[in-house]
Amino acid sequence: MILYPKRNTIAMTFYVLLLLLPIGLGLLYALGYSLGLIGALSDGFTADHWIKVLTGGEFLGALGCSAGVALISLSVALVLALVVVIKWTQHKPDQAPAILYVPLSIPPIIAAFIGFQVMSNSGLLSRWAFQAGWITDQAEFGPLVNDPYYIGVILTQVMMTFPYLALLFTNIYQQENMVLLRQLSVTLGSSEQQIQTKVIIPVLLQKARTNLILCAVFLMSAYEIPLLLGTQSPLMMSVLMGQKFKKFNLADIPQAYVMTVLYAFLMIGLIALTLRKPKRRA
Amino acid sequence: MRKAILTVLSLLFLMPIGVLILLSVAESWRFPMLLPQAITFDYWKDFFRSSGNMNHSIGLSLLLAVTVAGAVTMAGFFTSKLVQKQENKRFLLQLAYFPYSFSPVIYAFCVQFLFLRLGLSGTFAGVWIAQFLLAFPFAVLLFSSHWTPVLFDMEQMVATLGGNRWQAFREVLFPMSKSILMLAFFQTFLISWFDYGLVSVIGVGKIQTLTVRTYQFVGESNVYFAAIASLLIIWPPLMLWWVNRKFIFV
Repeated sequence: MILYPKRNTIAMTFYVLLLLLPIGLGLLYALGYSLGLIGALSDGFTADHWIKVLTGGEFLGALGCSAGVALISLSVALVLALVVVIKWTQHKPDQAPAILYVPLSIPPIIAAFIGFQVMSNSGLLSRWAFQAGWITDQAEFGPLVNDPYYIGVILTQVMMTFPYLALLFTNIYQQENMVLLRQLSVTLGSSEQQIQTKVIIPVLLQKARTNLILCAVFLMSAYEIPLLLGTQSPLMMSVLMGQKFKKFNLADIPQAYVMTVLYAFLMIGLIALTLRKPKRRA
Repeated sequence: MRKAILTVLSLLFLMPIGVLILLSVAESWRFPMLLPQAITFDYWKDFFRSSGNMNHSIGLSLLLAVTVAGAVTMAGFFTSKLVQKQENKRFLLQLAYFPYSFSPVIYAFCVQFLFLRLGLSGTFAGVWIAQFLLAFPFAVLLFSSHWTPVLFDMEQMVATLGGNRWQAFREVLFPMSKSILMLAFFQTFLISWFDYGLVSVIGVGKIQTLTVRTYQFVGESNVYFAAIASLLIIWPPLMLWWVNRKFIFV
């Protein structure tokens, strides 16, 4: 007796519909709304909202801001994670430091709240600076939250991302049997620096490639942290869309839908590129 | 070097929790004091007494997280098993990444009209379905590496020996999948427990989970209540993590 047939078309159709139907319908509705075909302000087909978004600078500014913040956050988190994993695995290759799990218990909204309490002008860092005699007034403490360079957002995102990456790298380190690779490299006469730069780091980065790009997508689309710690200009993508959708000005909603469609297809394209089958070398 | 790394990481990650604890009991904590001038537990008492149905928010968040996690874990388990049997399993698994092209809040904006049309906006059922839709692909991806040929062979052996599907599940699959089922439950529990984006957009302020209340407290500059709400949110995941390490994956 065969417990399950090889193909199960009905179940798989349902699975595909569950994944694609809600968001697919949502994107179709957004497209229709953005082109003036449906919605409360529908006056028939128009490309005005698309032209406004593409030429207004707000969307491209938010896209650039989100990409910049995501890239910087990811790069810093990546370096920190690599340093921790390389140093840690020299002594204990089989297990990651348990403390790395603690930040994973903190959701973004609370991370942002903590970030504000630590990095604001009256926050913990400012108090330490005052006690150390580096500043004489809280106003002298540089703006780390709601600042134009998104420093507070970046630092908070780094604190959220780097433990995850460190755990991911430790996992890959064990799966890829890096202890043996390390020993082999030593036997072949490699220096510690060569082992790290020619063996460990390339293997970790290669194996974590998909996760790293997904991480970048998540960081780009971050909402709660830039909402609390970011600034009004430029806005990050999710915050800009949130503002457009939640504003009482109905004229902004078609533009919000234009942004949703554009951003969604951009991210879907990025993920599709990431997941495509690598070409085999001849 | 190991001790130095541990010390730095502990300081970095435990300090924020320390700040929350101190904020929740600080009677006054003026600049530039490093510690509160006086300690009080009045905020904790007031929080549960007068901050408008906090017990309801805790219960609501728990009910959402437990039911979403339970349903997603079981649905993800069996779906991923079916996906593994298909010839185009690579493509089917890749589709599961599709909802993650968006942050939860953008996903919520996309599907918002659908929920409005179906009368699900601002309801518990609406938020539940939205969280299910976002957590389900995660569970499918998580289970995908669990289905090895050995597991399928063992299941098939039950059938060869005369067992039915239920016996195969109860006697073979479930015992061999306990750890990953627990892991999936924990992870999807956290997706729901931590969610702010979906619940704020689909719930339109009517579904007052702990994360929504925390954001309200932050918006009102009520840092003491925000700190208490934050501690209530991070306490269960820390407990789950401890239970996980202590009793399940050791």
